[in-house]
Amino acid sequence: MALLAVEQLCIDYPARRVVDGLGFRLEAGRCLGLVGESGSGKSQTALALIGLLPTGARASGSVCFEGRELLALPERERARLLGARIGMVFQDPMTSLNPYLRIGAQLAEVLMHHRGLGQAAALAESQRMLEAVRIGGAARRLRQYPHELSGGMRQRVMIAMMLLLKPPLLIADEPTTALDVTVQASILHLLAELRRDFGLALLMISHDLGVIADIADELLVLYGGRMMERGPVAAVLAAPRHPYTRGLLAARPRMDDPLDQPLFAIPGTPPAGGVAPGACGFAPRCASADGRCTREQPAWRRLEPEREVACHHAA
Amino acid sequence: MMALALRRLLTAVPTLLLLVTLCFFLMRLAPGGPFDGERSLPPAIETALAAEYHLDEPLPRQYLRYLGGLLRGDLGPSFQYQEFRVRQLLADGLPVSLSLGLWAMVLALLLGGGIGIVAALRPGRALDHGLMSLSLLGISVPSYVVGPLLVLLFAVGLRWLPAGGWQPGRYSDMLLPVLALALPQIAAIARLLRGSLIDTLRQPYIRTARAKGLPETVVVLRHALRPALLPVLSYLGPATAGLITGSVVVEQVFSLPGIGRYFVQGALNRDYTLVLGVVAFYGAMIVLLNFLVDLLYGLLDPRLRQR
Repeated sequence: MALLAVEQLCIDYPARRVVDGLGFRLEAGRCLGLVGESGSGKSQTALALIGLLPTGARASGSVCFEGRELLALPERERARLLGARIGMVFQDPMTSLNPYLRIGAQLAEVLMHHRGLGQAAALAESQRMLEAVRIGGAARRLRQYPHELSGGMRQRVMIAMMLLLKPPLLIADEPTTALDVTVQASILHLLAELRRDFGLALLMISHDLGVIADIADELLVLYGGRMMERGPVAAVLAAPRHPYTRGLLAARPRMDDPLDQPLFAIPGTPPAGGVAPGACGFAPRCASADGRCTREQPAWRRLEPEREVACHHAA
Repeated sequence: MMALALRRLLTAVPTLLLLVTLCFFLMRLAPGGPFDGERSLPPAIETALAAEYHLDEPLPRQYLRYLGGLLRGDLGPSFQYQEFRVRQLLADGLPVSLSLGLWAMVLALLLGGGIGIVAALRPGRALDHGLMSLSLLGISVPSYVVGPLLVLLFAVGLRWLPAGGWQPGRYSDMLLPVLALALPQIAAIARLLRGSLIDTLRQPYIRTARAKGLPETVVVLRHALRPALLPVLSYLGPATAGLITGSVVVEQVFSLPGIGRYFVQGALNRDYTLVLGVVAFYGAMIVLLNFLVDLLYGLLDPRLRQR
């Protein structure tokens, strides 16, 4: 049984659907990368998984975690899972830690609340976890406030906070996007290490194919809230089947690009208000789109044992 | 932080000076004088009184004389209560105004805070709408309406509480005036806290707290309340100064011997020094309380501490 199995997940706001028919499985200890431009619904998906969608949004479908249906779970029971069985790392470490509380207090409260530890024991355990995420002077850090730490350091704190109870699943929503490139690399390295040490399954959300290529086993490409392509990272990157994936790959700047040529960009803009039903969501921007693409939504079909795609033209 | 607060305390000195200056000259612009009565006094007595209180000197000279006294902490003699200095009158009314004001503030914080939190937890729901409509009423109905209404209900109708008067230590005398003073503050604090708490609950770090699986009470009270209190705090400084300097209206309605009543009588009698004294005291209170608010800010927000 998969650790996390998502089926037909749809997220609706009063006027529009931002995620449409998402489905994927994540086995224990594996890493799945969700890739897409802004507005592709990837962050919304993460929030729906942990039940923290903003008011007004509604998730339907099925999210099955460790055999339990999360979408139907009462709030109290879901809260028991959060932090303990599912960790969540957010994009911006500058605003995601409470600026008014000491680092130690923010870490320790997780242990005190979920495991009923006393303050001293919780702080000691927190210090060990800070050391595990390679934060120097951990004892001193516990007494500091978030603003006294650098961005990369704060993201390490965030990761430590979410791993205190050794959850089997960590969801990371653009964990490196707000950081300097060198810090990015070290955070990714840390995540890869923790995955190995803790047997952590990682749902990695990013707009950056490079980040996903570094860390994920499998890749799921989203566009306008729909799935475009799925497969093992190496295979997809070597031979993308969906025109959108090809566009994303072509849009990556490379060191050996000639300097006098403009960077490639997929023509058009991502859909702002969700995509039209009854058509391929990417058709308006797709070079190989024909009449069928605007009349009929391509089915999600399997090309090879581990490769799936939603495109009329993929073979 | 301490340095910042002290600097702000210093910059308040010119403000206070301006306040006293404006008030001094505005009082003199008003027609009539402190010794004008229904019957005019014999010229000899009038001259003697003017000389006694230096009213015969040119105005700039009087102004400098007053400032000189102020520097020594002397607010001058009262023109109306001729055997008293203004300082004595203030000291006389202060315990009344202070205890009323402080109790009103405590009540306003507890009730207003509670209402604000409850309303913010379910914004847009019926309870929120009900509480906010009530608080709008509380803000918009002036105390000269609330005061008499309270008297009508609790003193005249139900006969539970006295309609006015003041004996030190008798708490039943305080109840109605404290309530009248507190009602608009309860409403203001509730609305302020509701707004800033709703804002705070949308912050990313609140989402983090929820993602840690903390119960909602912990999320609200431990993670959201402190930042949400900051805007309320800056309102509390001037509001408390207003309350403890004595509400002109409420002290009049309940015939309480506080500072506010001296202010009204002073203004009517052209008791220049008494009015100036109350104004200067109020100004100093605002400065002092804002200083305290600055210090509290530093206590609540760790990011302000090192500066």
